[in-house]
Amino acid sequence: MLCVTDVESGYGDLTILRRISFELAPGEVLAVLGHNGVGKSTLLRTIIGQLRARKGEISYAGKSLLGLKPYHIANRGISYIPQEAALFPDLSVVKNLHVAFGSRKDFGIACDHALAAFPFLRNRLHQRAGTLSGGEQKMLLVARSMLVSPRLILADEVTEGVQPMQVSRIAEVLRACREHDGTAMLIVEQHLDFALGIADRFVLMKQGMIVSAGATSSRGARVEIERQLAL
Amino acid sequence: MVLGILNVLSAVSLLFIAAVGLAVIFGVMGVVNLAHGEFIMLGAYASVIVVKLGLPVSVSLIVAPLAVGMIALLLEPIFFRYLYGRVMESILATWGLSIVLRQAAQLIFGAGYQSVPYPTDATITVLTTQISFYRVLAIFLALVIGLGVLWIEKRTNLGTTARAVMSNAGLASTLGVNIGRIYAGTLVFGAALAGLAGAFLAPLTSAYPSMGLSFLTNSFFAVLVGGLGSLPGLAFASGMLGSTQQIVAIFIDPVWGSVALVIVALILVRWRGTA
Amino acid sequence: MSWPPGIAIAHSGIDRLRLTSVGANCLIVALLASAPLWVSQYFATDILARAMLLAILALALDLAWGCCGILSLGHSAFFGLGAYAMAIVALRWDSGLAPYVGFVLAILLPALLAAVVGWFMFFGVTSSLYVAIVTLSLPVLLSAIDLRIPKLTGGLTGLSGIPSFPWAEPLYTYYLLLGALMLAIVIVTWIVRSDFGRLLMAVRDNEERARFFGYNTPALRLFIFALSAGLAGYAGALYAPYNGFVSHGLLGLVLSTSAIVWVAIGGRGTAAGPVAGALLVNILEPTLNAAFPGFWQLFLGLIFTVVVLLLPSGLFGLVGSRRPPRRGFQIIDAPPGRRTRDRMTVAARKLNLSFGSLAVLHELNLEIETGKLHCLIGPNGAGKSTLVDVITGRLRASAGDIVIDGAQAAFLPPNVIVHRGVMRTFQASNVFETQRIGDNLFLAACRRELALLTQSTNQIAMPVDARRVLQLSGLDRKLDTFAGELGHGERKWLELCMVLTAQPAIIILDEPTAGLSSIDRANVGEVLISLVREHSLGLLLIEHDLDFVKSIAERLSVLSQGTIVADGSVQAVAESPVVRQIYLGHTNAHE
Repeated sequence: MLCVTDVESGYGDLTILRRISFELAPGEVLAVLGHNGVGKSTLLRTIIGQLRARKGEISYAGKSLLGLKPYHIANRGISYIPQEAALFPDLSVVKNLHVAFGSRKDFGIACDHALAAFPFLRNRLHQRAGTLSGGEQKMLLVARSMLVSPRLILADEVTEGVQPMQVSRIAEVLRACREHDGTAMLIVEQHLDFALGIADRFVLMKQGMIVSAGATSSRGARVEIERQLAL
Repeated sequence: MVLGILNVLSAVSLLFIAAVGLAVIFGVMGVVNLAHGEFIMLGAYASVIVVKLGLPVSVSLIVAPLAVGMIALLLEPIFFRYLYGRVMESILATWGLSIVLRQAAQLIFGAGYQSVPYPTDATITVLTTQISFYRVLAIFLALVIGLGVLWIEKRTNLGTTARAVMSNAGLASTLGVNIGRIYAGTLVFGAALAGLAGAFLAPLTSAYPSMGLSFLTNSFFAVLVGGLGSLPGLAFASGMLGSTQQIVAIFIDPVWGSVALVIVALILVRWRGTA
Repeated sequence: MSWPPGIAIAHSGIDRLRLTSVGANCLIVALLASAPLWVSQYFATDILARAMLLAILALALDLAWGCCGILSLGHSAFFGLGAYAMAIVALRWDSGLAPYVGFVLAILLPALLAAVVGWFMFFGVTSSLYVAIVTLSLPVLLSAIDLRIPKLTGGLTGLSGIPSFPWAEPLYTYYLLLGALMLAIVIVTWIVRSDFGRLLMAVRDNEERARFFGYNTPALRLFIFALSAGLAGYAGALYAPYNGFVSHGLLGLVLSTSAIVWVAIGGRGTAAGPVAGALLVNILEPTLNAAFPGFWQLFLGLIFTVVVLLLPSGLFGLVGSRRPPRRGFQIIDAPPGRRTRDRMTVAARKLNLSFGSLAVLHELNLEIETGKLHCLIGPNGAGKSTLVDVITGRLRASAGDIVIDGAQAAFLPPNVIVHRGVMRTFQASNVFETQRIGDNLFLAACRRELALLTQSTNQIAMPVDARRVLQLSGLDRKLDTFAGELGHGERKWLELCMVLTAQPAIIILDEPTAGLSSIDRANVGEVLISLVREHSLGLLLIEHDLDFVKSIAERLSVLSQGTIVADGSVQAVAESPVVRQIYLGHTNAHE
C-alpha cells in the first residue's frame, strides 16, 4: 500500500535520510525505531509532504506522493500525528477535531465513535486544547486521527510523556482500529514495549539509514533491537 | 456634548470599518497589502458608477464589495499568490500595485473629486442638535461588521479553519485543509470588506484617485496597535486612535488631529513593545 | 508556484561597492560633466540639473534602504522639509547669513525629525512593515501641516521668489549641482566601503545575529536613518535656490513613491544604482510624459512591480554582476586581556514562561559557571532553546530572575548581555551569510561601532583559542568564501570561531554537534574540553547525544516539561532512572 524506495531527504543542505526503502501492506503496522536525531521524524514528514524528497519515490495505493501538497496527501486517507506542535493550543478540543474533520458529513457520529475510545474527552470538549496535560493531548491526537477513518496513520512518538496506563489505552485503541478498520500504521517510537506490542514488523534506523529490520514476533527480535540501540 | 460623543463614536466606527478588511487579510495570511487603500478607493468608485447608471446609491453597498472581491479574486493567482509569507516583497509589490491602481483610476475617472449622494439625507435630533443620520449609521455598520466577522470567526467551521491556518498553517495542511483556498478566500473577503468601506465612505469624502492613501496609514496603525489577528484589539485601537483624532480635531484642528493619531499610535506600539 | 531561477540572484546586495560601482559612478559623473558640450543649455540646466538633485535624494534613500534595510516609503518628506527650511529662512530673514543658516537648518531639521521618529520605530518591537507605515505617514502629515500654516509655508501655492545663487551664468549652477552630487556620492561610497558599511550590511541581512554579537542595532539604524534624512535635506536645500520656488508637492507622497521606484529600478544597495535609476527616469520622464500623458506613471508602476518581484537587484544587478575582488584577509593576534572576568556565574532563578496557554518554563533554576563544562539534555520540546532565549535576552520570562555576576539581567537587551560576557550559538547555525568568512570573523571581533567609520581594514584580531579552532576546521584557508556557501558542518565551526573571537566568559552552545560527522564530533569535543581547562571558559551545551555528553561533560542537568528534574555530576545523573526513561525509552515495563 505504501511503497518507499531509495528516498533521500533533509533540510537545506543537510541530508538526513539516505536511501530509505521499505514497504507497508494494507492493514500492517510497522514500527520505526532508533535514537533521537536518526531521521525518524524526517521520514514521516517526507511522506506527508512537509519535506520534499530529493531522490527516490514514495507511492501510496499505486500513485506517487512526490511533489504533492500535504493536504492533498492527507485527503487521500493518510493521517499524520506530529511529535511537536500537533494541536492548535488556543482552539477548544472540539474545534481541533473540527479542523481535521473538514467538510465531511456527520461530524456527530464520527465524533461519538472517536470519543468512545477516550471517554474523558467528552467532558473537555470546550476546554482549550493547550490546557490539557501532555498525556491527554496525545490521546486527543489519536482521537483526532480516528475521526477521519484513515487508511494509513503516521504516528510520531505518540506515547511521549504519557503515563503507563494511558499508554496501554492508546495501544488498545490502535489495535482495535487496525482490526476493525484495517488501518495500516507507521509508528515512530522510543517506547519499545508499546511499539513491539502493536507492530507486525519493525525497522531500526541509524544516521538516516535502515540498519535492521524484521518481524516483531520473531524470537530474537527484542534482543537484537536492544543490542542495536545500545551500540 | 452629545454631538461631540456621537461624532467621536462615528469617527471611531469609520476607522474600524476601513481597517477591518486589512486586519482580516493580514491576520490570516500575513500578507501586507499596501494596496488596501486602493481597494477602498475602488469601492468608492463603484458607488460612482452605480449612481451614474441611475441606480439608487444604497445598491452600491452590495455592488461594491462584490466588485472589489471579484478584482481580488482575479489578482490572486497572478499576483498575491507569490507573496504569501514574504514580507519585504509583499510590501514593495503591493505598493507597486497601489501605484498602478491609482494611476489606472486617474486615467479612467479623471483626477478630480466625484461626489456621491448620501443614501439618506435624514437627520436625527438629539437634545436640540441635529446630526446626520448617515454618520450615526456608521456606528451601527461598524458594530454589524465587527460582530459579524467575530461570529464567523468563533462560530462557524470556516472561522475555525481560518484560525487554525492563522495559528499553524503547516499543521492545518497536514490535516487536510486546503490552505491555498483559505488564503484566496480570505483575500477576497478582506477585499470585499474594503470595498464595502469604500462605498460607505464615498458620500462622506467623495471619490478621488488618491483617497486610498489617507485610509492606508490609519488602517495600518489601527491594525498594528490592535495586534495581529485580534478583532477586539482592532476595536480597541480604533477607539484609541479614532477618538484621539476626533477630539483633537474638534478642539484644535483636523490636521493636528491626524498628527495626534500618528503620535498616539507610535507611543502605543512602543509602549506595548517594551511591556 | 515558483518564479524563474533568475530571482535567486538574491538581493544579497553583497558589497558590490567595489570597482564596478565606483567605476559606474565615475562614468556617470564624466558624462554629466561633459554634457553641456553635447546637449542644449536648456536641457542641461533644466532637466539634467533637476535630475542630479533628485539623484541625491535617491542616494539618501538608498543609504537607508539598500545599505541598512530601512524601507523609508516617505523619504521625500525630508527633502521637502529641507527645501522649505531653506526657502523660509532665505525669504524671511534679511541677512547675508540667511542662505548659510538656511542650509544648515535644511540638513539638521530633517535629521532631527528622523531621529525622533526613529526612536519610536527602531526600539522596542519593530518590523519592516512598521517602519514602512510610519515613514509613509510622514509625507502625509507634513503635507497636511503645510496646508494648515499657509502664512509660513505659502500653502498650496508654495513659496516663490527664493533668491538664487550669487551668479548669473546658469552653467555655474549646473556645475555646482554636479559637485554637490559628487560630494553625496563620495560620502555614501565612503560609508559603504568602510568597515562601518560591512557592519551595516550585516545588520541589514541578519539583524538578530548582529545584536547577539553585542552591536546596538537599533541605535545604528537610528544613526543611519538620521544621516540619510540629513542628506535628503541637503538635496532639498540646494533645490530651493535652484528652482526659485518650492511647492506643496515636494512634501507629498508622489515624490516619495517616485524615489522608491528610481532606487528599485536602478539597483538598491549599490551606490551607482540609485544615481543611475534617478537620472534615467528623470531624464526620460518629461519626454515620455508629454508623449503618453498619464500612461507613463502607470507604466512606471508596472515596471516597478515587475522589478521588485523578478529582478530585485535592479538594472545594476544585471549590469554590474561581477563579484567584488578578494579582500586579502590577514589574521593578527588580539590584544591580550580583553577577557577580564576570571570567575563568573549566570543564574536562572524560578523562571516561568508561557506562550498563550502553553507553559514552557516552570519554576526553572539553573546555574552556569566559568571553568565548568556543563551539559543540558532533555526531550524535544522540553524548552531548552527557550531557556537559552530567556537567558540571552531574546525572550522575556513572565516571572523569575536572571542574575549575571550578581547583577540583575532579566530585562536587558541581547547586546548588553553580550557585553556582560555571555554569548550563544544558535541551533540552526546563525552567521552572516551574505558576507565572507573573514568579514564574519571581523564583525565578531570588533565592537565599537562608530570607530568603524574611519577605517577599512583587512585585519582580523583573533585570540589564540579562536585561531586554533579556525585552523582545526580548515576555515583559515577559506577566508574569502561567502558564509552562505558553506556546508552545514563548516557553518557550525564558523559560528563557534566567531563566538570565541568575541572573547566571552560564558558560552551557551545550542546543539553544537547536530548533523556533524563523527570525526568532527570528536574534534569539537576536544576543543570544548580544552577551552574549559586551558582558557577557563564556562560552557553550557544543549545536547541530544548522550554518549557525547558522557565523554566530555563535568556537570549534567536534565530539563523535562519546563523544569530541571536532575542536576549534578555527569556520573550521577547519567545513570539515574530519569535519564534512562527519557533517553533510552521505557525499556523496563512500567505497566
